[in-house]
Amino acid sequence: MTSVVFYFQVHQPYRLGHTPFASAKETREPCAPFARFDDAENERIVRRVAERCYLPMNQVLLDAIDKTDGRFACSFSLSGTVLQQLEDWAPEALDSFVKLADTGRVEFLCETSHHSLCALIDETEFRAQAIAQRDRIESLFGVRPTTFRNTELIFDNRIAQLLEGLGFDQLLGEGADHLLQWRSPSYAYRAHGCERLKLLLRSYVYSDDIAFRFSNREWAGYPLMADTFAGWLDEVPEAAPFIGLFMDYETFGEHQPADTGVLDFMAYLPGYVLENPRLDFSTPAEIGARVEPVGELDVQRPVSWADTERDLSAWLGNPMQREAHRALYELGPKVRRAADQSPVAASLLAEWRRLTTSDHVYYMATKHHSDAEVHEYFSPFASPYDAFIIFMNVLDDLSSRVDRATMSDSRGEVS
Amino acid sequence: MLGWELSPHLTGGMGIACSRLARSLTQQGTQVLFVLPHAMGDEEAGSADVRACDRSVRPVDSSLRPYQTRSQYEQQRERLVHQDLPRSGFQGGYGANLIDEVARYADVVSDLCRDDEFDLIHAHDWMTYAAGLRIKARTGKPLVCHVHSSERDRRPFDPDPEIERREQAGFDGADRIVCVSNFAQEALTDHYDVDPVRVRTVHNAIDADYGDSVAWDPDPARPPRVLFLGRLTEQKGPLHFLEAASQVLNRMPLVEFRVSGEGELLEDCKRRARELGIEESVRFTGFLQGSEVPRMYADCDAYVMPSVSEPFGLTALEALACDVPVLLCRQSGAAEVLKSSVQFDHWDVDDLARKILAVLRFPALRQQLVVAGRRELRSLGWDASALRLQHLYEEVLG
Repeated sequence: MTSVVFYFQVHQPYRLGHTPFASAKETREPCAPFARFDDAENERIVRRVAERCYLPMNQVLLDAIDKTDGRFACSFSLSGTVLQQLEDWAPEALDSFVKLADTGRVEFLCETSHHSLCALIDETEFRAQAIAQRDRIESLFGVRPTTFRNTELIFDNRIAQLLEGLGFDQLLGEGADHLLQWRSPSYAYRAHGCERLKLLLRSYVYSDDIAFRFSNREWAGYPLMADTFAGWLDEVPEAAPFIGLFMDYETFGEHQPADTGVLDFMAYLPGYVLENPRLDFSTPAEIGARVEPVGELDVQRPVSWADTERDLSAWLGNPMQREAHRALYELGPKVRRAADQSPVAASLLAEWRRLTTSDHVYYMATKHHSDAEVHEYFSPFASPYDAFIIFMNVLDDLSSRVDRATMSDSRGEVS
Repeated sequence: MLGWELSPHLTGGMGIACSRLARSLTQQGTQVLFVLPHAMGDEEAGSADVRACDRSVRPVDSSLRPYQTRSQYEQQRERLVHQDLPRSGFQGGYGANLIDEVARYADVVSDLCRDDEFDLIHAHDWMTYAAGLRIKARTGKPLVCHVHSSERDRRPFDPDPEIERREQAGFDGADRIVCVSNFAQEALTDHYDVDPVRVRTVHNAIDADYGDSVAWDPDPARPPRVLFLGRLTEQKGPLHFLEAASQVLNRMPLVEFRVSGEGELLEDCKRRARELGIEESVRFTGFLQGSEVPRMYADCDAYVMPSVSEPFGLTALEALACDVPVLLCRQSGAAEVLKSSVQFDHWDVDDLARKILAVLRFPALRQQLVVAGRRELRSLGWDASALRLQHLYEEVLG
C-alpha cells in the first residue's frame, strides 16, 4: 500500500510599505511601532487569497473527506503570520481551517512562528519560534503537532537534530536530486546524527505537476486531468510507503486561478486515487507511526524546495541578502534582552520577529533566468534594490528604537 | 547615413551612438556613407566612409550644434559673423535663424550625394531630417528617421514649435522611425502624430572596453562623492540633484556632490546650492570631455541621473562600466535595459535622497549593483543594436 501524503503550506508575510518613511529631510524621529508594515495592502491580499483560495479550497477538501468517509486525509502548515492575519482580517477563513481540523483527518504541522530563517543563524530564536508556534497550533486546532516543516523546507543535519531535541517525530524536507542521488523520495530516512526523527521527503516531480505545470499550456501534460494524474501515481513502485505531494496552498485559486480548473482537479482526485486498491491517503504523523527509515542521509549543506538549485540561494544568494540577514539577526539578542527587561519593549520584539519572515530577503533576490519571474511575481517592490533599501531603513529605525528603550530603561533604574 | 556629429566630437550621446552604429554596421557587411556637416578628420566610424560637406565638396562651417536654443544659436552666430570666421562654400551665407540653417544643410547634403548609390537613407535627429526627406523625394529611396532625443525631451516645458514641426515632417515622411528606447517611443507616439506601427526600438549600448582605463579605488579617508554629469538644463534635472543633496547632507554631513557639465542652468544651480546652504559640499567641475569623463566616474561613489525625461541616458551605462553604482530615474530609456540600478521617479526627491544614502552606507548594495551590472553590460553591446538596425533595413527594403 502506498499512501499519498498531501501537505499544503499556507503563508502570508507582513509586507513592508514603499512610502511611509520619515523622509530623509525630516528629523531623525523614529516612526510609530508597526507603522512601516503596509497593513492596508496586507489586509487586501489576505482577504483576496482567503476568498479565492482558502475558503473555496477548504470546502473542496472538507467535501472530499465527507464523500470518502474520511479515507481522504491531508496536512497543513499555517505560518504564525498568516494565522494572525486570518484572525484579524479573515476570521471566517480561520474557522474553516478549524472545521478541517475537527474532521480528524487533517494534520496541522508546526513551523517557525514567523516563517523565518532563524534555524540557519540563531538557535535561541529558532527554539522560541518553534515552541511558540507549537503552542499556538495546539490551542487553535486541538492537537499538539508532532511533525515539523521548516521554512521553505530548509533542513540539514543540524536543524534535524535541533528538532529531535525539541521532541518532534517527523520532519518534512525536499527530495532534492543532489541529496537522494539514486534513492527514492518515497521512503522515510533518518538525518545523520538523529535517532528518532523521521525525514519525509517531497516527490517534487509529482508535486510540481500540480503546483507549477498544471496551468502551463506549453506543457506536454496539459491539460492535466485527475484520473490521468492518479494513473501516474500508480507508477510508483508498490513497495514505496508514500508519495509526498508538498506544495503552497495558494496554488489552488491564487497562483493558478480557479478557471484553470485546479480546484476541480483536487475535487476529483481523491475519488480516482481511491479507486486504485494499492493507494490511499495518510497524514505525515500516520506515516511516521508506521514506517521505519530505510537509511541515513548526511545533509551537510541546507536543502530547500526553492528554485532550481534547491539551496539557500533564493534568500541568501547575493551580498544584499546576506547583509540584511546578518544585520537582522545581529539585532536579535539586543531586542530580546530589551523585551525581557521592559514590557514596553515587547512590541519591539514582535516587530523584529515580523522582519524575520523570509519573504523580506526573498524580495532582494537578483537571480536571473526563469526563477527571477517567480521572485518578481511575489515581490511588492519595483526591484530587489528597493527591497533591500527599504528593509535596511526599517531595521535601522527599529534598532534606534531598541536603543532608546534600553537607554530610558537604564535611566529609570538609576533614578 | 546623415548625422550631425561623430565621436569623439560630441555634446551628447548621439555622436557616440552614430559612431558605434556606423562601425558595427560596416563590420556586419553594410556599406555606410556617413555625411556630416563639418568634420575634424579624426571621427570614429570604423570603416564607414565619412564625408563632410565642408571637406569634400562644399565646406559648411556650420555654427549649428544640436541641443542649442535659437537664442543661443543667434548669439553664437553673431560672434561668428562678427569675427568673420571661415565659412567657405555657401554663397548665400547663413539664413537668419536656425531653421534656415538646417534647410541649407539639406541643400548641400542632397547635392553632395547626387552621384552616390545607396539603398536607404538613415537620418539622425531633426537637423538632418530635411536633408533625408529631400533625398528621398529625389531618389525614391526609403527613409529611416532615428530619434536620439526629441524636442519634447530636450525642452519639456517650452518646446520650440519650429523644431517640433521639422521633427513632425521627418516622422511623417519616414518609412520607419527608430527610437532609442520604448520609453522614448511612448513619448513620441504621445506627443507627435506617429503611428506606432512604423516605430522600432533600437537601444543604445556601450563599448565592451569602456572604463577599462580607470578603476574605482577610493582613498578611505576622503568623504564619499556623488556625481551629476550632463548638460545643466531642465531636461537633465540638476536642481533635483541639489535638493536631494541637501537632504543627504542633513543625515550624512560629509558627502561631496559634484556637478559636471555646463548649460543654461549653471547660475541657477549655484544660487540654489547657496540657498540650501550646501555650497561648501557642492563642486562644479565644468564641462568634461574625452578621458576626463571615465576618470570622473571612477572618482565618485555614486552616479545620479535625475532627468525629467531621458530618451536613453548613455552616461548610466558608462558610469556602471567604471564600477560606479547608478541611481537612475525611471523616466529614462536606460532604466529599461539596466536592471542593475537603483531607480526612482524624477520628481521624488525624498526617495532619491534615501537611495543615495543607502548606496553610500551599504557596501553590500554597492557590491551587488556593480557585480550584477558588469554581467548585464556584457549583453549591451553595439553589435547587437546594429544587428537590430540591419533587420529593420531588411524589413524596409523588403
